[in-house]
Amino acid sequence: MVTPDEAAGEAFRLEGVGLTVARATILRDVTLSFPRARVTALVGHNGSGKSTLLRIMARQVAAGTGRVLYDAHPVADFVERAFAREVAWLPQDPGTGADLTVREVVASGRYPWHGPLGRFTDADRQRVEDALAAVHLQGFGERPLATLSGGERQRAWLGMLIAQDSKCLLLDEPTAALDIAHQVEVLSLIRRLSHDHGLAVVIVMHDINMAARFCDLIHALKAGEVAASGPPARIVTPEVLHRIYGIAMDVLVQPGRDVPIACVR
Amino acid sequence: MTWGMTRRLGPILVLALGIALLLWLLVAAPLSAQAAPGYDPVKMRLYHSTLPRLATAVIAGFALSLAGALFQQVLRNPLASPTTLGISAGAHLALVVATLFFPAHLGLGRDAVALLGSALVAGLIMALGARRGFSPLSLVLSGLVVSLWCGALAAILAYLNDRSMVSLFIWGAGSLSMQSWQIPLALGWKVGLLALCCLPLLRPLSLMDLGDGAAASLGVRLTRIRLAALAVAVALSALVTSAVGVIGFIGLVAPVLARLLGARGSPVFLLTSGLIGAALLLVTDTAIQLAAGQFSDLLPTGAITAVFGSPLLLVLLPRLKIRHRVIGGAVAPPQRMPRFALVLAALPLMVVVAVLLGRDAGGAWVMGTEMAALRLPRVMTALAAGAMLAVAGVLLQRLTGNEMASPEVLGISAGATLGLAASLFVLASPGLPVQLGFAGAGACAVLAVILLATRRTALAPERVLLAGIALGALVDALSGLLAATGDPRALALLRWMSGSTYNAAPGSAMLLCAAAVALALPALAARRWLDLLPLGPALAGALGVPVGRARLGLFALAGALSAVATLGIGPLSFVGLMAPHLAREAGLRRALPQTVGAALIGAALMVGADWLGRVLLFPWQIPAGLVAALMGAPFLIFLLFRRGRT
Amino acid sequence: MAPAALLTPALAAGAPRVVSLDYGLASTLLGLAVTPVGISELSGWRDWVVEPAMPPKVAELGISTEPNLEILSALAPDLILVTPWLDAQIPRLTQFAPVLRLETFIWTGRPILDACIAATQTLAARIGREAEARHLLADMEALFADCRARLARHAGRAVVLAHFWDARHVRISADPSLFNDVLLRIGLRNAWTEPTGNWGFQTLPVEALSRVTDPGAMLLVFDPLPPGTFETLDRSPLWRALPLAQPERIRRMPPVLLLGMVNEAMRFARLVTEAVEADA
Repeated sequence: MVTPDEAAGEAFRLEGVGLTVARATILRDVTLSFPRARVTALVGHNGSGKSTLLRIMARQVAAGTGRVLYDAHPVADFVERAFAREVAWLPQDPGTGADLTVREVVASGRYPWHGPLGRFTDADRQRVEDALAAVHLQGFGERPLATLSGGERQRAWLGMLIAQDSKCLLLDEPTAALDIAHQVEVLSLIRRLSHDHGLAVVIVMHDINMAARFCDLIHALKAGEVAASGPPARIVTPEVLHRIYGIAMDVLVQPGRDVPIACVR
Repeated sequence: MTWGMTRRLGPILVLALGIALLLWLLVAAPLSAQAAPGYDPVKMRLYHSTLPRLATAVIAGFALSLAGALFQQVLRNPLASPTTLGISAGAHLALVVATLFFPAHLGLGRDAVALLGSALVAGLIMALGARRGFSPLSLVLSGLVVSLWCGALAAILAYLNDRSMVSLFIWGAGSLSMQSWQIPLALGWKVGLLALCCLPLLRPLSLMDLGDGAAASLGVRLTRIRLAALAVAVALSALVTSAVGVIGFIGLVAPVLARLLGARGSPVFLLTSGLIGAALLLVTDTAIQLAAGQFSDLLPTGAITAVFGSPLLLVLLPRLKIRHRVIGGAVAPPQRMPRFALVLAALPLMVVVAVLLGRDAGGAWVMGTEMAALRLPRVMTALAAGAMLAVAGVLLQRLTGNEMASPEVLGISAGATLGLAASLFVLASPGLPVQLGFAGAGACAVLAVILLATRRTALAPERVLLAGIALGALVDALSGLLAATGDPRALALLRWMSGSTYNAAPGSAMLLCAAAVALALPALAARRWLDLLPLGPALAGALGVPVGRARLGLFALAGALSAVATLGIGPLSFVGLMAPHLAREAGLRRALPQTVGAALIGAALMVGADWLGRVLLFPWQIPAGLVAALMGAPFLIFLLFRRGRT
Repeated sequence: MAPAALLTPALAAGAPRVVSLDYGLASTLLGLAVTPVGISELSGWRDWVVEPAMPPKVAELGISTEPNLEILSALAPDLILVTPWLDAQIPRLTQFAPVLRLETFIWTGRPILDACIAATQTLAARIGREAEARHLLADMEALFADCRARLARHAGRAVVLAHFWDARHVRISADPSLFNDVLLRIGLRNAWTEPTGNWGFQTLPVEALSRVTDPGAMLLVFDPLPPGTFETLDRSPLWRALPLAQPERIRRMPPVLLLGMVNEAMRFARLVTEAVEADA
């Protein structure tokens, strides 16, 4: 079922990844590939293991069995900062940023580059300003993160990831707190970054329609195992959706676009 | 009989048999003794001392455990108890204050005084808890801090009245010795009445297990039921403290055992807790009476239950669900230059005052350099200790993401105290270097224990904090036990615990300053880690911070800083808590400026406290640690209130 | 010991400026007709030591374990008196004046009274007051002899020496202590024979007093007594039935310094003799 994108190369490769916690199997024999310059969605029912899989890729959790390769090397081989320069991860609820200001949060993204003792250079400063501009928060630099609305805060965290300047983004439901307009804005931004700058992006998503609309590839998990994998058109079909979610669904095609839309039958 | 029932009944049977055996050992001999004609001391002791003592143990154990179970039920907090919430300590402090300042009025009003103290602490803890959503940890954390503070203040008040202190310690350590049925009878009907008050609360409390929303929709008046249950619990523990003193941790242990035995539902849980508590205290006290026959010295029951009970907090830690809390809520004001200038100017100003301004033998104020050579070592010691505690406080608060963290709370100071106690009681008359060596070893041992005990949970900050405070409670119990025996060496321990700079010599002061610089530098170098770690371990790790190693190293650094500072200034200053917050108030939010600012503020606070202590009651000297602590506690309370509001 | 060689000129000249960090040593100084220039815990003197009265103009040094060094240096004493209790402070104090360490109330293998007599003689030699010391010790011997004679009728009578902490706990003085030694010298004995620590006293629950089986023993209750102690005790059947607590066997005593020296031994002897003598 592995479909490496030959043109852009492969960022992550999972081989037979499994995880068992207190006799409960969370993940079993997951073998998947995540290409560069593409946005890949991880979907599945609640408790299907999609967030856990993302955390394994981000090295937040160690896989019980199998291999997790980044750039053809086991992720455990990277030292902390080297890995952070390659892979950026944003948890589902990153919090309110202690009492840092927006600019300080975004500047935190530069840590993998300057390290604990290195100088914070003008180049670093420029990266931070660029990231603030990319998430449309130029005027918010001095505001404490805690005083921002949910959408602004989410954009600030994305700004940190952009400033981190890594080659791969792992995002856990980055749009969960956002209204529909902001969802579209953030996902468009992510898609643009991926396609323009060649970033590998992996997003855990609930909304199968948003995934179909903004992602190039969808990996679906069911009860810790890979249920389906492929481009949206191959996933968003009544048969596959029934396999993933266990309920009957219909698929329409949005008028004027080539995007499938799923709805409950 | 099913396996489950066997498992539940087994421990009960063992307990019952144990009680029977111990009671038999205690009572059989006097009962079977030949009745002597006329005055019979054996029978008199049995009927008017041993039996009322056993009855008191049963009543007090029942009351405290019922109170603990009520607290746990209402607050949904498996760590709540009269001891961990500071209720008992509040009552004790109130009684000490009354004994020292209004001795003539104490006779009738004991219960009232104890109730007042308990209610004040309870009101405070609940008000704080309500503002933080009754989060189990913050509740117990603030309860234990208040408890330690009350205990320390009571100890220091006793120290300042050293020749009458033993009586105060006996109450603090909870002695159950009886000479009549007066106490058990008086306590018995009050506890019985309060237990009856629980009956109408049983059904609503059961419904509240469903959750507040569900209970409210079924017609339960949540606030009223909660308040009533808390009032009963507070009254129960206050009455016990008033009658026999502080009996530590029974109210925590019994409900926990009740739960482990599978007591479900409010009525069963409350009753089982009460009965187990009664049995536990009965067993403990019987064993103590039997043992006391061997040693013939006073073994206060309350301190002994605390010594065995406080480690239970450590055992309970894994049962608590803890997630990383991120500092937040209140927004620090932007950097303001005047305040920052104040921070910079405060220390030199304070040092000049502390070195030059003093009083002469007649009490008149004198400004001059004559005494500078005597004052400088003390000022330098205070300065170095204050700065180190402040830096340790910054490290701990940033590591744990918890604004309550401080060296005092971590238990390092408690370890140093224990080491000093060991040196005093193991060696005949240890010199100053030996005492300091023992104290240092104690501090390091506690640090090692905390690091090892929390290793499996990957140094989860809240656990480290609670582990530290549990150790602090243990040390508190042990030193209370020592002090209540009236041994004059306990005085030396108390003196050191009060945090005096008196022993500062030029050499040691220089050494302390050098240590402060040497230990503060790595903290400054780790400024980027300290900036990122408050974001939480997951995010900091994702940004490339080696979280495990960074935490281990910084915890060790904080431990070293507090150990060295504790050697200089004693264990109880709260400067490590205050200084980081004041630095934030001055607008210093990032790790580097906050660390530097906190160090300056901490140093200035400690120098100021030392100076005040030297001149206020001249020629008597109040230890600097005590002065700082007296300022620190209200600050702590203020902090909790302000934090909660946002 | 070669005291004369250690004397500073000022001491030899007869106006010794002495600081005492112990009540017993300060009281002994007064007994040697030397007024200390400063003592620790001066404010408690009248409550705990009572006699001899401390003359005015003596400087207060604060708590004994932390005497105020600023005042100490301003006093410029010739000699500082300490007990082993302050061993940890001796290196410190030596910077201000020579320190004389005298073993008085701590058990070192010889009776406490003997230790106090030896300490008195050492002190007197050090400050050139040997004659006064001989007088003081002779007075003590004479008083003991007098007391012994007055108590001939009660010879061997047992007494319990009690300080009440509260209505439930009591401190009992026993062997080895100054009081115990004095009791023997004046022909009485201590009814409490259970071993105590090196400090000569132990804290016990009140019912432990029923372990005193001596039929003629008297209970001497020393002040200060916490308010309400006897009122509470009188409601206890155990206490009321206690032979030792019967009104005719119980005596309320003025305060006497527990860890004192020769003057305190004499005050104790006099007060105990008066109390026992009055008994029919």
